[in-house]
Amino acid sequence: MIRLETIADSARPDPSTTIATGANGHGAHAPDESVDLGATVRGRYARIAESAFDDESGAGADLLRRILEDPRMRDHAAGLLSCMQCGICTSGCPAARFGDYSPREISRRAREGDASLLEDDSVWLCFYCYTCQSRCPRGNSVAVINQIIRGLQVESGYGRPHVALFTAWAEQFFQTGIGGWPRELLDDISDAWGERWWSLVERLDDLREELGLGSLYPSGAALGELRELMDELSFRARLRLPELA
Amino acid sequence: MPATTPEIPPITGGVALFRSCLVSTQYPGVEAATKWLFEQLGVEYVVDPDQTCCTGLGYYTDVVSFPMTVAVAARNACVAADAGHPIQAYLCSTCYAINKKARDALEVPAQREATNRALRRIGRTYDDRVAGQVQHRHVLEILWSRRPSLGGLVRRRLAGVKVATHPACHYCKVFPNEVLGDSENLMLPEDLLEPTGAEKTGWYPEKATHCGAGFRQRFVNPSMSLAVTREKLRRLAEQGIDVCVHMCPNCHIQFDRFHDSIAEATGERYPFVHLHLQQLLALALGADPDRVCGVEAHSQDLEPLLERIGARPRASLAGRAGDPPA
Repeated sequence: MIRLETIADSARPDPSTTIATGANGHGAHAPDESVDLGATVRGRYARIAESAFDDESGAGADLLRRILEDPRMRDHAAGLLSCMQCGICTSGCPAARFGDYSPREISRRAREGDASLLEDDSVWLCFYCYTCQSRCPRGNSVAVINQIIRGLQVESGYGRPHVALFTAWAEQFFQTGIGGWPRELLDDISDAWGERWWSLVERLDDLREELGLGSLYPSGAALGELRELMDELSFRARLRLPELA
Repeated sequence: MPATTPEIPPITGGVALFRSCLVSTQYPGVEAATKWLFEQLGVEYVVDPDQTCCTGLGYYTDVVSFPMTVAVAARNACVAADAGHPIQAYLCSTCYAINKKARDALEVPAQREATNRALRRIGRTYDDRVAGQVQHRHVLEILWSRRPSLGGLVRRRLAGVKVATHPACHYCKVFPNEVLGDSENLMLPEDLLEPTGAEKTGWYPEKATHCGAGFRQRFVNPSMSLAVTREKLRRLAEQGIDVCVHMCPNCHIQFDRFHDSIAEATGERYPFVHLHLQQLLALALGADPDRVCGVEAHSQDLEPLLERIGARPRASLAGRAGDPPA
């Protein structure tokens, strides 16, 4: 439970910074220009942020804390805590417009530390276009929250079916050191890409040579370093990819 | 329509043209056209074989963890700083944004420490020296910084060719405060084309709406993905444009590769083509459409446009040359 009295206390006017108002609502006296009203508001958000960790029941605070403490949220944590549910995120969101998804709901549930997000499939509809983040008046980022939640779902195993298709990407990256969309992914959609696409597939190496471009792949030394980093950071194990000899 | 993109001084000091997996494998002409423009404009640069892929497609399809992405970005930054080419210039907006995301995460002490623990295994350290030297720039920003030289280099005027920008989300929306211009109405690509005489579109309804690719969505939820692409194509068609210019290969794939099949399936007409800004600018500066711009990699037929701007002999006129006068 978030201690409501903490927010109520902070919302109570502080006599030292209150601008006196007359009966008609207009200032009866000249306002004191030295008063920093912004500081009052900023203080209030800070207190809301503190109170977010008062939940002693566990689960909710745990998810919220994991989100807030993630380095990706460095510039968005205060924004999540001060989300006012205005819905500008949802108004510009392509997945809300053309799919069954609401970034505003994700923000509300994340703010409440709703652990059911860890078994929620709608987070997988986000396009990662960051429209929500770029327009949020509070500096929140539902795109980043989704990245964190999907990561937690992958690690718990719940989200693994959602990424099964893309392990082909991971395998290609491991083998070559470059990404690109692997053939396994393109086979299903390339009919829509037309004849010319297939001739590119056949001609890519020749075309690159005619354009005077070097190798598609990074150096062997770079790939070696990359593999060391992958091993150190459990790249294959995280995706349950088979261990290689 | 006067240029509104803020002026910046020339970006100098050693450019590392950061290889993009999607440019390399889908539109290699974008890389070749960029190099050609750098050479025309006297931008000193290298392409470093020790640079690896940014992991962007893997991170955004959720198969690469964030610590892995940060470690790869930190390693690439170390490589660029050590090679004396610390200005990482990106062809792809996802490379651009994800490297900046990593830059910011590496300012969190615990993250930097954890990343350096991993980097120790390959004998590298991301420290204040590297962080202070490395800059992250979209290729268009490098070109814009050399804009005063562009005017004198135009060989094929684009007068009468109307262009519109598809602003890449990962350039405009991940770091909106670092955008050159208005993140909701990016004019950088069109302003770069100003010396060519191309007609600008400026703002149009749904300009900031994205391409529809959405990493996994193109493959997993194609109906939702292509509904977004169709909406954008319709809005662009309303503007009566000839070319939609791009600054990200993933957007470019979504539009160029699906354009004709969406038109066929819907019965709608979208009478324009897609090109990367660097390809169209290089064509205006006289570059060869095949050996520099690699137009054969495109799914759309670019020949009518190439004829129109004088980059191809006019086949239709040549064919009629021997006809008896009417």
